[in-house]
Amino acid sequence: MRVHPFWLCVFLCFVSACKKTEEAKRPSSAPSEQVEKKEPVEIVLWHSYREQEKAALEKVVESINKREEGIKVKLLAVPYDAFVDKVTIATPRGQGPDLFIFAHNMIGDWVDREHILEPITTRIPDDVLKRFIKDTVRALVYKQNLYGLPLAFKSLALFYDPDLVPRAPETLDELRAVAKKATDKEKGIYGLVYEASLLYFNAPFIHGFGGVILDEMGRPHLDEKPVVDALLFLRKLVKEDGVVPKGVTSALVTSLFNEGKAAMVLSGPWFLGEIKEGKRFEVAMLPAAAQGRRLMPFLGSEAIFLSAYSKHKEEAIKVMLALTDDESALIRLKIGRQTVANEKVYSMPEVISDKVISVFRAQASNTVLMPSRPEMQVVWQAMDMAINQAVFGDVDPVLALQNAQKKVLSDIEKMKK
Amino acid sequence: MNSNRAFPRWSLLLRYAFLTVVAFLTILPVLWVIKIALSGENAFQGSDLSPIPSVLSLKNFYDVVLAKDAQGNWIFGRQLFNSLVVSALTTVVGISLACTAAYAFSRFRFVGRRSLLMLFLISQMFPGILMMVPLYVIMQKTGLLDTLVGLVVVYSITSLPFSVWMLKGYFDTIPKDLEEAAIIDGASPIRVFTTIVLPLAMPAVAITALFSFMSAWNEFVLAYTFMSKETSFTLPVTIRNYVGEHTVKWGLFAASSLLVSIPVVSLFFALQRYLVSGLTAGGVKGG
Amino acid sequence: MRRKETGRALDGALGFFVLVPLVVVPAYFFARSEISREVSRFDRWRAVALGMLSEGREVPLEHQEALIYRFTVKSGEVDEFGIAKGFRVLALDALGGATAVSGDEEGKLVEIAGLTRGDPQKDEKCVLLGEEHILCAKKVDQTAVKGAKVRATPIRLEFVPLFLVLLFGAGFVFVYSLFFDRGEKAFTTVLGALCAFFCSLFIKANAQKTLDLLIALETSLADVPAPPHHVEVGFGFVFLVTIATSCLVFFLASPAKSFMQNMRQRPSIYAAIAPALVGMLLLVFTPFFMGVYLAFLDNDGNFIGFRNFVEILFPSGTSDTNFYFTLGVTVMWTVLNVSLHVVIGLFLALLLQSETLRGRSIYRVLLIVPWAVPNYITALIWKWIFNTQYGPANAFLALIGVGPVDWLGRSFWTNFVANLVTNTWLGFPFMMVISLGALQSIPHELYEAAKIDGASRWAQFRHVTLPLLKPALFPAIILGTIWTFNMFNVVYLVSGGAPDNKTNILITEAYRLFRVLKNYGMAAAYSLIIFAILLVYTTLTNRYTKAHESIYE
Repeated sequence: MRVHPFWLCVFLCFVSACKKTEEAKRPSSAPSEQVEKKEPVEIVLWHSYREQEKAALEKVVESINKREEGIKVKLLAVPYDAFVDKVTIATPRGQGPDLFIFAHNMIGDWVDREHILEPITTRIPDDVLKRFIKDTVRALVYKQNLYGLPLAFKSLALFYDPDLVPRAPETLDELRAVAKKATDKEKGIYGLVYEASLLYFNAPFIHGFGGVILDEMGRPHLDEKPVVDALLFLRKLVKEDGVVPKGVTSALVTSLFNEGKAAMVLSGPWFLGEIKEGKRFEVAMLPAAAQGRRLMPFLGSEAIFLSAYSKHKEEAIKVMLALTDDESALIRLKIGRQTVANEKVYSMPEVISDKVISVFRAQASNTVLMPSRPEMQVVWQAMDMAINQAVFGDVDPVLALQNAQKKVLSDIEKMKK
Repeated sequence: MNSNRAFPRWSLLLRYAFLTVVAFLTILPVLWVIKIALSGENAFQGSDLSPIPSVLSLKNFYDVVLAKDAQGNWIFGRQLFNSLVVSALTTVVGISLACTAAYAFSRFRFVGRRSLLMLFLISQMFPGILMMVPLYVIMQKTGLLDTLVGLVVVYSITSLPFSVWMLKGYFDTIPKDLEEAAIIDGASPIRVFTTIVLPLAMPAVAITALFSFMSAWNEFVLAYTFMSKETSFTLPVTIRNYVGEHTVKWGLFAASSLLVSIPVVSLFFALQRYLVSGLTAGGVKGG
Repeated sequence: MRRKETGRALDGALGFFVLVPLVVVPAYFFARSEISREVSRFDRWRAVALGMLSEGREVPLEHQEALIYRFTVKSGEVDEFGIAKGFRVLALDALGGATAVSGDEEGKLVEIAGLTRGDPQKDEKCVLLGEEHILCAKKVDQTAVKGAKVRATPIRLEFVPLFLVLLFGAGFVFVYSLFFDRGEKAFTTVLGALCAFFCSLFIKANAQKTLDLLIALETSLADVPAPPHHVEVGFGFVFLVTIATSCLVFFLASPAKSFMQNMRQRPSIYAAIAPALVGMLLLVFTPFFMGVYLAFLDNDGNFIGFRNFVEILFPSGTSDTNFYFTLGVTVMWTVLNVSLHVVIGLFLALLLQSETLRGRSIYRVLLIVPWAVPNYITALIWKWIFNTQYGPANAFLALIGVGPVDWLGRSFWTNFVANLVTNTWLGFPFMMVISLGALQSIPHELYEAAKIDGASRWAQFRHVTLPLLKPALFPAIILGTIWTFNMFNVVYLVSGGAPDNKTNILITEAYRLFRVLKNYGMAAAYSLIIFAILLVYTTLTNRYTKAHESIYE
């Protein structure tokens, strides 16, 4: 009886799928062999890096694997928007990684709700923390316990197009003037291009005017005067001066800058990878505001965390320490173009000459730590709305912010229930 | 003898014009995707609205296809293979189960028929977020986590309700005379099913198979949740890799999306004739 | 014959899936509360204690809850990073201030009186003080005392009532269906009730031993020290298990019998459906019920009954997007979308059907493209299309002289229309394909007969095409409605619920509860409500379809 080729294909598919299953099961079904041969402990590390950062991480891990005899680090790249979901579902069921790399702002939730982080306060040598920029470590402390080691930090800085802007502005007024001068509606050139409808990118202004978005106890201060002043200032930038285009997304920021239609851009280290080859650009610190304050963006600390369910915590800690030592930091900086958290790296000659990285380092000392409390999650959306209404719309900033404050408070209530 | 009646020429021209405009508008967004994919490094030009690419470069496609994971394995091929295996098996398993079930529902009256049908429909309405974690736990306990077979099982079962409903609807429109005649002639139900009903229902089976394949092919959430190795990921997971926290790699994003949609489009193209077989269910001569 | 078989008050399957939750679940909850209180409370407080220890949290006296325990944790200073440094001393103060344990200033762990369990290797001790207090402490090195993180393991004794009811209920239903006749239903019920009664009585008498067994099992599998435990089972447990079992047997016996009879007569039918059904039971219904359970809990895992539902359905008025508003938006969204999909899809299918049109296959392929390309990227492209300043939509409007519209901005309607257009673009190919297939199966003879009778094209459409399309279109419309109702991607990616969550449909709102507000219980309740709405909808439409069952003539 001739077998119809279709069914043959189906059979082959099935066999290959089953083979995969066996492959997946095999490692776990031969533990005795491992003990005898004293095989290296496998540490699973999840991350959401791509391209250069991924390459840098892979190189660092390669050298760690060579150095450490009994440890083998295995990497898994998970898509960014899937990362949090995957980690929170898999880890408590024992299917998660030993270590994972992520930004610090979810710590509150991970510790309080999901219980997937292991505090490393007592597990690391005392002087390890000294090698990092202080704020990047502070970001990883929650309720007096340390939960991770910082790899890199993220903040905003001022990118500008030297063809349109000769010198970086040093004060807020200069910023306005420079932006106005560079704006040319006919050619479609704008003075200040950034994702202006998001709180994250407007935070520097709010902090520059002295506003506090969420304090350490998790209370919002959205309707206070400094915040109102900040929004009024932004409104002037948008409506009167017309230097900020509306509805700009990150893709548009990139494309406008690359086309030479953006004089100044507020963005972070990731922007470096977006700039077209050959396009001239400069980076500077965000200007100063009034009364001795500077525009201060949020500081995000990208860190490596230890899973509470890891079966090889000792080895995992060793990997954490190795990943965050100064040699690795240098590799990550040079290949991955990361603004690393290690202090010492910045005084090396090759890094000093790298203007972009140095500017970001300087900016890092003028930042506000992004709150990692769970309450912060509801603030983003409410403030985005308020900014949209007050800066791009016609709503009175006081009203918009009061609404936002009310909304956030009621949402926090809902969260606590 | 077909509907080739006295068509005024202008009516035909009007149809062509209308269809062309609609088709153009329909694929316009995709033309932009193609343009972005072919634009190499300078993928997303925000202010350039033309769907015609100004730069022609296959770099994005190369980068997507030749990507390697940390261990140096070629992942695109592997993931393509995974997707193919999973989708093909899902379709086969799903359609076989659904055909038999739909036939039973359509032709026979039995206790529990109505409620079982409702049950199939109801399960379509279960909200996904509710079931994610329990499903994970079940997969873990049965050892199907991180396996392709597990994905196939989940996809086929979750595509069942839809397939059963669609197929039953089509089966309902096929008159029973032929089958009754065959039964009188002494054929067993299975023979009746395979030799008479199935061929007649080919368009329905083809469409349902296509839907089944497509939903398995494009499924992303369960794939990334259940799989823990890059070599077990399916293609849609890789597409999402290009969407980052602050940036989107538009060129690679577009290129990978296009590559992922090619099989579905070609499958539809190939299955078209089932839609046009011009079959008249009136195999009953003489009414 | 049809009526008798299907005319039972409760079809077997429906009975199972409706009765089991209605009868068994409440019984389970009440019964379990009769037995597991001691154990789970212990574990939960133990976890709290240990958690607080590891956080080094200080609880000022005046802020305590009226609950029974007080912690006094003297933390050392914090260093420059905010990390607690130095030693911590733990003392648990039971009611009224008698200290069960204390540490001295140097942080040495002194002996703890009372029933203790712990892992001597790690020098940790957990003590149950009195009925309800618990202390856990751990010595780290010679001078420091710090908190240990031990996960509390819930003891599974609470599933025993459910297990008992299902075991005896199902068993006796099965026995009845095989061996007995109509008249002996009462007999079987009594038999089942008796079995359940004695079994639960036995468990009640030996509760401690049962619990010991289960705990031994748990602790051998996990890696945790076993807590001291004390359990008592009340009579409520016995009573409720018996009642639930009797109800189950009584109501399900007859339907099960007719079901089994039917099955024996025509096994092939059930064999045809069985694999599908079993698969769905395992992978669809079980997760569903597990998820449903969440809706009755609050965020800490306490059972709060219907409170989540009450909060959703009777909003207290603080937020401006309440459930009913979102429901209205969702209904409008669904109706508009499905209508547009069907009209456009059917219209295009009709156009494409004419055989004089050349290049039909090309048009067909072009028109299903929206469906083939993953909707993640196309939704993002549409988001760009509606961009106020740079999007093609406004550029097009500018061509015809209309000013730029702030699509994804502050207006509800512009956001809604943007979502609508995107979803229509995504959704009409499906209806088009269905219609194409359905149109193919309409025999030409009918058209010719109508033509001979002198019917116009429109009349042909109304009287020939439309009625014959219904059986194929109806399932598609019902399914399409359900999918559109739950269409998450478009609303999330294009408008993101803007402005201010107003364009959120029910499912994106549930997601927001889940992801942003982290209120899992409320999100689960929300999902259940969505499900209930769809259920009502399909029941109603099903009635309608049955009334107009396919009349193929």
